[in-house]
Amino acid sequence: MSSTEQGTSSAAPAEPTTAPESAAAPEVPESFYYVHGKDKVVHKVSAGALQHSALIHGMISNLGYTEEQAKANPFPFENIDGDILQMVVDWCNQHKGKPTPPEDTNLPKQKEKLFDLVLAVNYLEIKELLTYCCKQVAMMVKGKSPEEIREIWMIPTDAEDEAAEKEAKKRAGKEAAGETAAAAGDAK
Amino acid sequence: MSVHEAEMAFLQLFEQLEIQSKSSKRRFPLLKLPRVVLLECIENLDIFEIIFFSLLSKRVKSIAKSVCLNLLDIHMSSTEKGPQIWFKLPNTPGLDWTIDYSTEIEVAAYPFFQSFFDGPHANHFLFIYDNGIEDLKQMVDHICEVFRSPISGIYIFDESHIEWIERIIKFQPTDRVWINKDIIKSVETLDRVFKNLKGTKYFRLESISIDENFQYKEPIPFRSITIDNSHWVTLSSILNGTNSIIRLYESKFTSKDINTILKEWQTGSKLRNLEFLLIQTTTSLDAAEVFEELNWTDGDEIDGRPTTVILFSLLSKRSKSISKHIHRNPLHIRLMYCSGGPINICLGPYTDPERWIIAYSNNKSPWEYPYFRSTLPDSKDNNFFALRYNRRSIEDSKRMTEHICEVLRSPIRDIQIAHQSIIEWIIKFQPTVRNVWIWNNAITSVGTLDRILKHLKVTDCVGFDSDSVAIKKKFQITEPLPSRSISIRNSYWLTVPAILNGNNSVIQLFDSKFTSKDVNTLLKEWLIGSKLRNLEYLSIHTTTLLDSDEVLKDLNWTDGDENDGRPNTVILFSLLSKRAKSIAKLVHWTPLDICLKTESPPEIQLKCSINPCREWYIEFNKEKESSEYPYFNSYMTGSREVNFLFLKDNGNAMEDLKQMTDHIGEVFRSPISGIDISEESLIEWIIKFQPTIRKVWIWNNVITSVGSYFKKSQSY
Repeated sequence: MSSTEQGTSSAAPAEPTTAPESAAAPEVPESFYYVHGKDKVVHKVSAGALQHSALIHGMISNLGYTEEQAKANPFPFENIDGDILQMVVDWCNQHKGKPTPPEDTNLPKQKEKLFDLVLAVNYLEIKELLTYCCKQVAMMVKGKSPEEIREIWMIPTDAEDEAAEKEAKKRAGKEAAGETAAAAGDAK
Repeated sequence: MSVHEAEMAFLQLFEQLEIQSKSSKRRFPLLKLPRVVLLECIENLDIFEIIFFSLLSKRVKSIAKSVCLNLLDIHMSSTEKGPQIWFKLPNTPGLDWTIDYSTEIEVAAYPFFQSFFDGPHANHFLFIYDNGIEDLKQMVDHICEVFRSPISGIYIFDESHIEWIERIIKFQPTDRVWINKDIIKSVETLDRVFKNLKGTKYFRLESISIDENFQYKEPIPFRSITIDNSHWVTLSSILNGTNSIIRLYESKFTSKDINTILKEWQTGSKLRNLEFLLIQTTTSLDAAEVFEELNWTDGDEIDGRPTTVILFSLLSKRSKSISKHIHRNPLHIRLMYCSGGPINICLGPYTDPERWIIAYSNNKSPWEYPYFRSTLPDSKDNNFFALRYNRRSIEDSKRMTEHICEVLRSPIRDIQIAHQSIIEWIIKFQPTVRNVWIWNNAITSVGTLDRILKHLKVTDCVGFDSDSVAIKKKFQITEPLPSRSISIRNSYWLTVPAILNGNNSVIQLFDSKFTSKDVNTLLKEWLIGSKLRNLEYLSIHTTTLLDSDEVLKDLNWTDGDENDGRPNTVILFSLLSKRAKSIAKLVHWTPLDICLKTESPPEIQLKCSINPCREWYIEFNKEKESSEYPYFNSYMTGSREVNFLFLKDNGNAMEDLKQMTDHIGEVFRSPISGIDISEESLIEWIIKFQPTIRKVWIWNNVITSVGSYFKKSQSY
């Protein structure tokens, strides 16, 4: 009990020694948070930039971290590649506190990167960036023929879908049989 | 063919590829995206891309169907090059999407896209190789299914369509069906079409290739029917129908048949829904028999109304009162009587005063009247209803006009008068008209002219043709013509007092017999301002030679004001005298946008913010002889009206321009908004005259020292 009280008193802000001279409100220092991806590289991001992400914004609001606590506990996003997270962080920094323009030409052109970016952005709930990404995805097939669309977007044919479905059913059947056999073995 | 089979056919058509064996580096596994993201990506595709995408497999088709996008006006039609499917999106009415099937170029080049702009409309085309009718039908089925939208119109140009259309229409009625000629080859097919396409609203059938003696006696079950080569349509088929619009071409109806239809329509026991009827026959009709026993003179409060009435409102008292209950915006009515020629009653909104024309003419054979014709010149619809001109047409047209004014609650705005009887009628019917033009020989007595001047109030413009006043005895009038604007050809009868005592704003006289002294008197009075106070424009063409010295005698053209030494070539009213200037200043003008162009020839450009389409230029040049200055020129370019006043450049144009600018700025209380500086002296002047200015352009080699740069306008 006493340790809690001590902790509380030590965390309490010190009383100001002098009164502010002017009536103008003092500037609130910007708070920073830390995030890392699969590569464990930590990125320092301002709270303003992170407001783009509904997911992180919600986490910040609930946690109420101090600077030290934020530094000590970076948000881990193990499902996001380091370079993709870097892209997201850069975008958030570039568009911090600014109205988002209707087009964003800085998105990656490589399709595999864009796919990972879309997944990351969707996970982090960055609405404006997701909109840009979806437009970029749609642009991939601009003026393309059906066979080109199929190739670009890897759309399987009906026959392939049916074969994949059969395979999945077969696999599910095997797994179910394996589990039953294992359960029977355990019972013995 | 099932939907699945259709898809498989498309997949074959588009050469399904073995995509799984290709590297994934260049590809994007769209279907692995979360569903919401996937749908957002699809929403960003245009219509053609969605159609292509949805054709790729059953799975993606069901995804595409999740995007809630409805199409409007899906039509299947055919052109000379091949069949077409076209449609619109609800939020972009100016944009058409067309899938065009053709075989014009090599198969390998298909599919390809093209877009065209046509005025405010755009059309996106997708060209697909035409493999035959099955492809087209499958595509229509596919589009309707993916976008959950009905087909609005179908042009049947192949017999095999009929069965397919019947199947479609069973589930979703189609508004318009058009059947090409000779598609229907049997009575059974015709029966089937009428039976199975019941939901159709607009039905057009070109000629059928059934036995010449075939007759159809059942009603045709569509709201609007248009039938070419309609010899097989019988009277009972029409009378027992519930059609609203009937157009029959090359009919074999006799005068008696048409008379029966008209009588039944009028009595209202049959043809209750009929709104429009057009029958073109291959046989000659007897007008007397056609109109026999037709109660065309179902009089109301205006008894004795003529017989040749055709509008719905004229059919009976009831129809008239129904018509009067509709609250329409007032129309612009122009009544045009030409001497010995046709009579036109033009109706329309202010912006399009000739949208509907009721014409009494005689340029066609008698049996061709009455007839309707509608055209679309320059994207405006022009509707023409022609009645045969005969000796009663003048009286008929008067009654028709009275009726129209009453039903449409609109006054006659303009009238052109070619007969004396019209004068008496208009004075009695509507003694106040905005514009009147009187053609030759319309006025044959002094009394008639007097009646016009005293009893017909023309609020805007009255005009007289060269021989409009056909009075043998030479006479003259001294009373003013009480309209804002007058334009008179052969104006010998108009005297100077008639002009001087009038309040006209615009006066145009041709073939006048005014002498130089008369003109001088008019100009002096105008200048002094005790008379002709409203006059803005005066143009007098005389038949006599004028002496310019006498015309301009005692005219105080150079009455300077505080700015002495002002150039002589000023013409604006405000420059005529100090008094004129102070009067001009009293008017609260809308501030002008004044720009100065000092590069030769110097020019003052004026614009008014409330009327950006009108521009005025005062230009100093020396292109003509001195005696020809000042002169005006105006022209229209697009929607802009450009007015020039040319003043003589006496070698001191820049000084004249400065003084004129000073004057205009003072009168119109407007600053200079822009200037191009072509010589260094202007820098000093503009700094002194108006040191703050919005736009400045400085030409090459104008600033020759550092000092002049720092002196120039602050807002540079």
